[in-house]
Amino acid sequence: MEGPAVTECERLEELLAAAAVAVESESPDARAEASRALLAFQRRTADTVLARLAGAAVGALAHSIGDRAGVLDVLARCRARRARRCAGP
Amino acid sequence: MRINALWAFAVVVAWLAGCAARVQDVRPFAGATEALDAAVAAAYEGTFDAVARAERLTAEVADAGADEDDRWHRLEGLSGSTRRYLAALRGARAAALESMRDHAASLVAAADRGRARIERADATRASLVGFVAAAGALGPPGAGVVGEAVGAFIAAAGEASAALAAHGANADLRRRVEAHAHAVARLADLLDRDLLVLDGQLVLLGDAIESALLERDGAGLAALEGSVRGWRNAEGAGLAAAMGGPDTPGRGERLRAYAHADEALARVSRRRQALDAEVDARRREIGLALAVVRAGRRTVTAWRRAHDDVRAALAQRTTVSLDGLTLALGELRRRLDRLERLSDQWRVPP
Repeated sequence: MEGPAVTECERLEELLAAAAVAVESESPDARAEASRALLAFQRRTADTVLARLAGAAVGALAHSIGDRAGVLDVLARCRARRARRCAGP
Repeated sequence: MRINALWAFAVVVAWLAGCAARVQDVRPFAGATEALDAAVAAAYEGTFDAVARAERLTAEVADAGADEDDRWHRLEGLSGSTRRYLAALRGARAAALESMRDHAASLVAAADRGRARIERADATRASLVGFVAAAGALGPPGAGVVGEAVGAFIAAAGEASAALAAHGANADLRRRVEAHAHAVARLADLLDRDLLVLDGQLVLLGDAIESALLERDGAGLAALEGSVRGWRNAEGAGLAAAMGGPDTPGRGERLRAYAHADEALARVSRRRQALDAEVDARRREIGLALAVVRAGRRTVTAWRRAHDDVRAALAQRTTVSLDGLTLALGELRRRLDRLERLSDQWRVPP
């Protein structure tokens, strides 16, 4: 399977990092902004694995009110998975 | 001294008779409290529906394509946390709202008691005035004039008695309203903050629902479309030649492949349209739930103001203007009606 573009890999890493900061900040606006950006990425990217990871992050953000640690855990695993996907075959 | 006492009594009677024998109307505030209760319940209901919708979609996605990660399983755990958090918040506020309904009911009961006292005073005055008038008409010459004067005094005293009853009732209301002023303000702040939380939560749940739909119904569409178009572009010149050219070997296969490519693109287009329609429907659903939450916030503001207005009116012996409250409640009613009409269509089955 062909790997994703470097720019997409970098962009998703930025978005996941920003999402983690938003969850830590407990700011509803920051969370909404992070969620919107990840959703836009999911819509746009041609790489299905990166799209799923962005989707997982969006899904997790929607529950940051109930289990902040759990959401941060999902985001961390998304970042690790992104790193594996972007490291190439 | 006796004259002074009588004069003082007459002055008090005249002052009281001049006061409006009217108990402050607190029923609109009681109605607003009921509406507030309904608004908060509807806001939570809409959010719980959205949580259920997101949970169901993520489960569908998980069934369709569980992969290398256990993220969906983990997200289901997160949904449970969200539901528990919201349920705990709702439970805490429900108890506070219950106490506010009790407060409103006690105000209505106190006002009703005051009105009943006024009615009794009015009935007594009417019967006494009637008796004096009848006695004057049957008495010796001059008795009618005296009777008239006595009747007028009894009427004034009766009005004073009614005003006194209203004054007592309003004083009772004022004590109750003052005692609850801090609790009302505090609860209004908390409810407003809660509804703001629900607002943010609904926005995020809307994104999560859209994201799950994209993954369930839209995953691979762009890649498929790109691949088919890429093939057609690469084959473009050959295909055009095959379509218009002579019946050479392989021409039929190329034309069939071309037709299959067209069909594939048409399928992608139909799936994309269906996905867009589904996403639009879910956005409308979330939009409506958000509108209910936002109308709920305005109801909180109007409810708090209604209590403040009753408090001020009782202190200043004026009447309450409920225009703002009526507007807010009207808007809330419309939102709730709309939600109710569409809820059957959108409700996530258990």
